[in-house]
Amino acid sequence: MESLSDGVLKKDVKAAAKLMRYIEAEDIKATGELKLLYPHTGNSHIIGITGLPGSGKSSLIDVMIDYFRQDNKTVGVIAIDPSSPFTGGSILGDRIRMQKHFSDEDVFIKSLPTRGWRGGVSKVTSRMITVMDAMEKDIILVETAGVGQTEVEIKNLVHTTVVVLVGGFGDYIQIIKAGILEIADIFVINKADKNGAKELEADLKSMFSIESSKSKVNCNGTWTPAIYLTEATSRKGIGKLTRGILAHKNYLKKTGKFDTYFKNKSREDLKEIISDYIISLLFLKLENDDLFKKLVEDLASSNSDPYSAAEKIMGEVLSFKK
Amino acid sequence: MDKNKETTREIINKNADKNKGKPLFSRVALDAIKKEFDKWKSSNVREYDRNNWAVTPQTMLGSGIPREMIYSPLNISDLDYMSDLGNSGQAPFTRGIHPNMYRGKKFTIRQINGFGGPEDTNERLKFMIKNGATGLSVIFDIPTVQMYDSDDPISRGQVGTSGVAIDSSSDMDILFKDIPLEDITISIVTHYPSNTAILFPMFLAAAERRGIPWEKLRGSVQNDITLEEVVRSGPEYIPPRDCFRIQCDNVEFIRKNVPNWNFITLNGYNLRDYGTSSITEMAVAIANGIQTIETLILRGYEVDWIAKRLAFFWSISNDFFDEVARIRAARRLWYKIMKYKFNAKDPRSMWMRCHVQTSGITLTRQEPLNNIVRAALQALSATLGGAQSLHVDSYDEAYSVPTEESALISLRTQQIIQSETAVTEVVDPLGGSYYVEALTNDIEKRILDEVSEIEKLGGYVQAIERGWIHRKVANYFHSEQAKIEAGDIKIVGHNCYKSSYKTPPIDVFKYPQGAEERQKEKLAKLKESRNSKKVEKALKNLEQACRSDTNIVPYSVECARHGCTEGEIFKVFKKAYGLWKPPVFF
Amino acid sequence: MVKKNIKVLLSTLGLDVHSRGVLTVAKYLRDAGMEVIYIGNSMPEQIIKAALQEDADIIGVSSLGGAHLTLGSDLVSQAKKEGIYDERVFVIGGAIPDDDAGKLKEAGFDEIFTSGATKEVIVSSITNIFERKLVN
Repeated sequence: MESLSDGVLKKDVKAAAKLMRYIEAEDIKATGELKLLYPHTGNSHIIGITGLPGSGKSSLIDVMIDYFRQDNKTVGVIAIDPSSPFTGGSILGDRIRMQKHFSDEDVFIKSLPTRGWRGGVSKVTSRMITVMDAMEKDIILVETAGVGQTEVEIKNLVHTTVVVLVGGFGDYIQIIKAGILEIADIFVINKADKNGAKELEADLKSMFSIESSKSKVNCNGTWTPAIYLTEATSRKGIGKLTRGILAHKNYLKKTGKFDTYFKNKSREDLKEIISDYIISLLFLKLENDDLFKKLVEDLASSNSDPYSAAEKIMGEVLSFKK
Repeated sequence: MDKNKETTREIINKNADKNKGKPLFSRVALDAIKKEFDKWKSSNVREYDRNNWAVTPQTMLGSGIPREMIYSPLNISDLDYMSDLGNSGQAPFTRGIHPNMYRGKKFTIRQINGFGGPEDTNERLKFMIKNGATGLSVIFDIPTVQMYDSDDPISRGQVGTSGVAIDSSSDMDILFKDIPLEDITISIVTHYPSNTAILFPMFLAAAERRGIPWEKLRGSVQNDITLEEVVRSGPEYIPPRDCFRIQCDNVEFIRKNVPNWNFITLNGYNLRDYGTSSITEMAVAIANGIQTIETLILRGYEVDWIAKRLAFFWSISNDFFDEVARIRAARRLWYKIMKYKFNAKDPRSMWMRCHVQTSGITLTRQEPLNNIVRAALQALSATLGGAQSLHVDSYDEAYSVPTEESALISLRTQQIIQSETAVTEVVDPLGGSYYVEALTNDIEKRILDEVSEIEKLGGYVQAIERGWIHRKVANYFHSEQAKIEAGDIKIVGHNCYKSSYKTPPIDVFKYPQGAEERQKEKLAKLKESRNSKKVEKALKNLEQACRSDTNIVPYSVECARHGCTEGEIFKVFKKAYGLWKPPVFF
Repeated sequence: MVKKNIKVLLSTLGLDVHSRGVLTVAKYLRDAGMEVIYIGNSMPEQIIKAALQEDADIIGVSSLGGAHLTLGSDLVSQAKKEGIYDERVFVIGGAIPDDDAGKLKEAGFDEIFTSGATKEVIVSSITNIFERKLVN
């Protein structure tokens, strides 16, 4: 019987979806398959789309996919939405905005709940990207959950970070200039026909010392972000945007940063997997340890404090010397 | 909309005390009553009732307005008969828009029809006329409503369900064959501005072919942006401001060229049944009306020219007196808006004429015969409120479109009210009731407050674009659903008085087979026989009109004349205006 | 530590204009801890494609426009042809007369929900069928 990784490499949607499910469930069944897929990754251009709620990210992505498809690029989309902290459930409603692509064989859309992970992405986003990369998707779009200001984690997962804003939030932009605005490789001002778009463009330019709206590669090799005005409804400005994204990719390739990203991602994946292993082994050991149980009782009856308890455990149970 | 402009509420409040000054109740009488009332309340009324004096009824789609245990002149102490009520047919029209109301004109009994292909519905229309229907109402199938042709892959399996399939103007010929268009009023239930701008021209072209001048046609279309952009689920939408532009184009064109036709039925019903309160329903329709009139005034027309034919479409739910009071409240409020905000001169401009339909969502699947009772009570409250025409939902609402039998019962419900109860012999029979007058005052104020909220957002179209309406409605229906589940809103047979009695199965409507095939054949023949050059040119001209400031409807009529299909015309709209995605709230 | 949640794909069948019911059910299922992917108006082919990509355990469609027999049975037969029927649960809700409900069951729907179905009934039916059909 064909393994899931074989299926993924053959671009079989069913196999990929099943593997993604195991990954989401953090099922060790996924590990073996992922081992076989990693060597086949590193070629996709991974683009993160983040921004304020209500900025129209999904509608923008819908039209961007059109343009990528016109260029015969295959596309993967990972659309992240928040899970309810109370019930653990979620309603993933990004897909509905990309309806016309449902019938396109070369567009794979995966809705991903955050399952409590903060930062606008899901804990397993990186591995989802791995699967789509192994399917040889030319472009992988990662749309963050859209809860706003704190969604900076995306930067580490993607090559190109696109931050989507809308006009009319003047003061708010001043307040949030740290955070998501700092991670942008490309700014998009969507719903550009609405009031405040021009003012926002001016604000961004002055905030980030951007002279023209076009992107720039500076003398020292750094990248100054571009600002694109778009109207997703009437498809205005999207062609320019997708070309701008391609320009960023070319910049990354020329400067070798495209592959550095991959190295960084691999390092982060490695650290994360190691820490997962360690933590699960650790707590497996602790749960059955008598001293641990006693210390918990002591804490519960206020006979100790967590710091002293931790030191004891680190020293005695885990033989950890400072 | 200019945010510094005076709101409608400010204008109305400024004029509030005009003509007042003759309070009905004398100060002396009121003081005496108050003394006795307070005494009675503290000695005769139980403590529990004193502490729970005002109670908010939990009903479906209700207003949430608390009701006191009993009402007296104290609740309407400054009522001035002539300025707050007037006589019927007299400002402020609280008691009715005509002096004699139902004595002069019984309410038009209009039952909705539509299923299968045009040939199938044609039979039913003839049946209704034979059985005493004084007006016809035609509803379209889902692909037609959503503006796709019967041969479009997206229409597969759905042609002829929930309404009649119409793909082109020649289908209109078949639909109205042998029906005397000049002698009967026809409500063509084109919900949206977009499909009104497609289907109504097809109807006009058909009338033209029969040699009937457009001035002789009488009836109405819905033509309401609320239906297209707020309560509809669909795969494709054009942006709200373009939809609103089409709404106004329809109004302008019809007013000019089909002078006896009602060009808009401000909704109302579909919004409410989707899940919102009786207050929001009216505030939205009124805000829409206000913005439409303002737009047409900007186009150079006089308010009286437009407002004389404006009509509303309300849903009637279960809170009996709420429903009576709010129709009266809407009448008075609309009068004030037309008089003080728009300076209308013609009294006909100030009438809140309305068609009502009993609420579909209040009808249950369990024990369906109970629905006959529900609908009858709702119809009665609409009658007491003074509606101009009425549709009574059939008892099998939760199962399918009505059978002949259930449609007949709905018809009989209205005929019994009109002929057996003597309710229609007296105008505004509940006028003067302390309760009804107090409730009318309260509802009027609340509607005006919500209209102001919408105005502060920049107007109705802005409120749609920003998702304000979508959010408000979603919040309402989610909380109503929670109340139904908790049993706070009681539904007999569903969450209270449940019985293990198994309702005998009812006969449900069976859709005629083969409509899809027949429509596809007709479309193939049409495409062969029509002049494709003329079709192409007509569509091109329409696209140009969409992109410019001119009224698009004449171009759509031209398309209809040359046999353009509905799907082809909708494609032009999508191309010219782009696609919009409405917000979804959970 | 396997954290598998139940994934439900919800759709409005074909061009049906109604959405209140399906949105309400989406909320019920989320409140019950399920992960709901709502795709709005879709034809059977699109529903199947989405179900595959999302690896949905449960596919639920809403139909109040009368197309439940035509498009509903179409959905199930396409699912069987694609080989994805056996590992998933198919449910339909809406304005469905009793004999049609019988026909839909025969066509392969695991459960039919008609108007008046409560939150408890919907959530528990879906959970039970899921456990019966898929956990074995």
